[in-house]
Amino acid sequence: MKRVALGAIVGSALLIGAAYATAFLPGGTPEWAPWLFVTGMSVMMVATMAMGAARNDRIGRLVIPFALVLVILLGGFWLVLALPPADPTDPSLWLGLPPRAAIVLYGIGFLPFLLVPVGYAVTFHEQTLGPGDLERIRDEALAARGTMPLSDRPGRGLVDDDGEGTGEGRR
Amino acid sequence: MTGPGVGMALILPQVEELPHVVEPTIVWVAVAYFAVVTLIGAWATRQTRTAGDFFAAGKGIGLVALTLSVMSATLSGFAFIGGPGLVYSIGLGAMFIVLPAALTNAMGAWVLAKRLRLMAEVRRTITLPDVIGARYRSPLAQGLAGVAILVAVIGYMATNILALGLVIDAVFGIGLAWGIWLGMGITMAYAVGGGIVAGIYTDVFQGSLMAVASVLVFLFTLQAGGGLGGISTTILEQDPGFLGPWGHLTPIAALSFFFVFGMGSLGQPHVVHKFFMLRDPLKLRWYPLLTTTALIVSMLLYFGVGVAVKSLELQGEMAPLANPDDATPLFLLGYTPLILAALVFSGVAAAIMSTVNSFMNIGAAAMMHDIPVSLGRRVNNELLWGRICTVIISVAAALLAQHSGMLVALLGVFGWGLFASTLVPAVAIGMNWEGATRAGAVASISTGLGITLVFETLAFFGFYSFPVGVTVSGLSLVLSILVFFGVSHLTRDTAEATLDPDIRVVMKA
Repeated sequence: MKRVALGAIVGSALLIGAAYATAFLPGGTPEWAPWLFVTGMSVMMVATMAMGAARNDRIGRLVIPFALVLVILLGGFWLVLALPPADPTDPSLWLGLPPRAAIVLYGIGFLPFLLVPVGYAVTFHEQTLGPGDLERIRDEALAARGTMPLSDRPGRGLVDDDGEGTGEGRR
Repeated sequence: MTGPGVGMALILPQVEELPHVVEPTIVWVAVAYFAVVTLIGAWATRQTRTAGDFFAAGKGIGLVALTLSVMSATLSGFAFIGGPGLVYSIGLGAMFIVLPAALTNAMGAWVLAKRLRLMAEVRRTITLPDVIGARYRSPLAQGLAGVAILVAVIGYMATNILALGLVIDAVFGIGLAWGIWLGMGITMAYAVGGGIVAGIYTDVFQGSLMAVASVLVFLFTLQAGGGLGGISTTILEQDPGFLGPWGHLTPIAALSFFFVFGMGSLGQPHVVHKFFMLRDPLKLRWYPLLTTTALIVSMLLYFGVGVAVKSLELQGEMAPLANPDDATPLFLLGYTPLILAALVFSGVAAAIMSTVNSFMNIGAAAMMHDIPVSLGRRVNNELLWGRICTVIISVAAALLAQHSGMLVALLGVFGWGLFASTLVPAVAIGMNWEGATRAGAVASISTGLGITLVFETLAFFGFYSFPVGVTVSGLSLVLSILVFFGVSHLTRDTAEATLDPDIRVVMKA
């Protein structure tokens, strides 16, 4: 999963870079450049979330919110680019806004809120951190550090006025 | 307005004088607000006994404190003054700055929160450059990141302190210089005494104030404009482009905002730094939901005032604004009860002070901890030196704000984009990809630092600007990401050697 996400980040960065590069062409930014940009940007944001969420190289049930968010971002931006401007003489409003503005604010801006933070909370224990994980990971990390040569081991943390390490966790 | 002009408006929330609003109610609410902040600062000073308390709140904060402090640190005064002014000027395009908010907190939680919190557990890291130094076994990368943070922090602080001075002058009528030093003095007093503990708990108070004020003002904007439908209809009749999907921006310019403020959120040290501090990491479960809700609520004012003032102007009920930053003050004075106006003005001061406080703390950490460590030195009493560096940075930023004119504006331009392009690849991607190398990190940080400093400076002085729609921050972010991957690929044989086994455990967690 992580390799796919990392590949998608590289590919999407190239798309965004290409969209920027078109602005330097004689004649200015072509009409298709924003399509490149929105595709690259949408893929990059979802791929970055998937990269961070992957545990044991799997994203589990998160595939559903991530897929939906990708559809919302790509679909929303593509619709906005494809739809004609609102007719000022006969404006139809969606929840008080012209259609393309409504897609931007309610669709791209708000709908992911119903999916992503909720998805994070629902899958937290299986996909992020479960009870006991913190202690287990800390112990594994300290054990792993023990395998390092003494000269490579990291030093102490912050130094206080008493010359001792920090007092984290005291509150 | 497109290109660099928009960037300037973004980073410089208030460089023009605000209308004076010296009214007894507003003054007394502001006095009460400053008194509460001072009391919290005094309490926090008593709680701060170690450098770990000063810079990382002793890893002892709860979920609500984390949520509100992240929200407060994210929103500077720009959210209340410059932002609504930008919406008024360029329409819907200005919303692309805040549009990614539905995604960014969860993205930050997945990509960074758990791993940074575990790094604090395993390596006692307290800063992002600390993490970079540990991740790549590279004092050079840590030092470069520290320099990038220090440059951006001083710029951000100078512009925010200038803005704070303008707000205090508008409320108390004491002049800009006194406003700057009074605002900086109060913020510095609690930042020096209570460090990030003071910052966190004043943020809780300040964030609550901002959220309540935002919701109330939004309701008044709907009332004044005849509902959202009424506002839209009025605007569409006379300025349909304003409510077009990109407002008066080009599509690439608006999308650049979304990209830089979306992906760039992963590299904002004053925000992600707070992940080190959570007492119980299992509480992270609710962090994205609560923080995103708080942010969306607090951004209602940003949108509402911008479109309502535009609508009122087109109806002939308000005169066209000479300065877009007047949108919020004039709307408050004309269309809301005085007590609400007073709350918002205190909320603006609160937003600026909470951001400044966060910058003071990470700037002091860069100066006292990251840069010396990168040079193979470390100070013996980091709590004392943290306090001394906080004073030095604060006074330097206030002097810059008061005296340097154009230099403040130039430094302010760097802010968000510099953080994004220097820190996102090395930290956000690097903490999730074992193939990242030390050379890749150093090259990407140098790319972000170099492109941002050179091209923002050239654009600022009018020597060279990118074509319309291409922002320096967006281009430097995408290039630093590509350089990070490219150089890491070329030096992939070294990846194994630059990753300590305990860090690998944290990354796989």
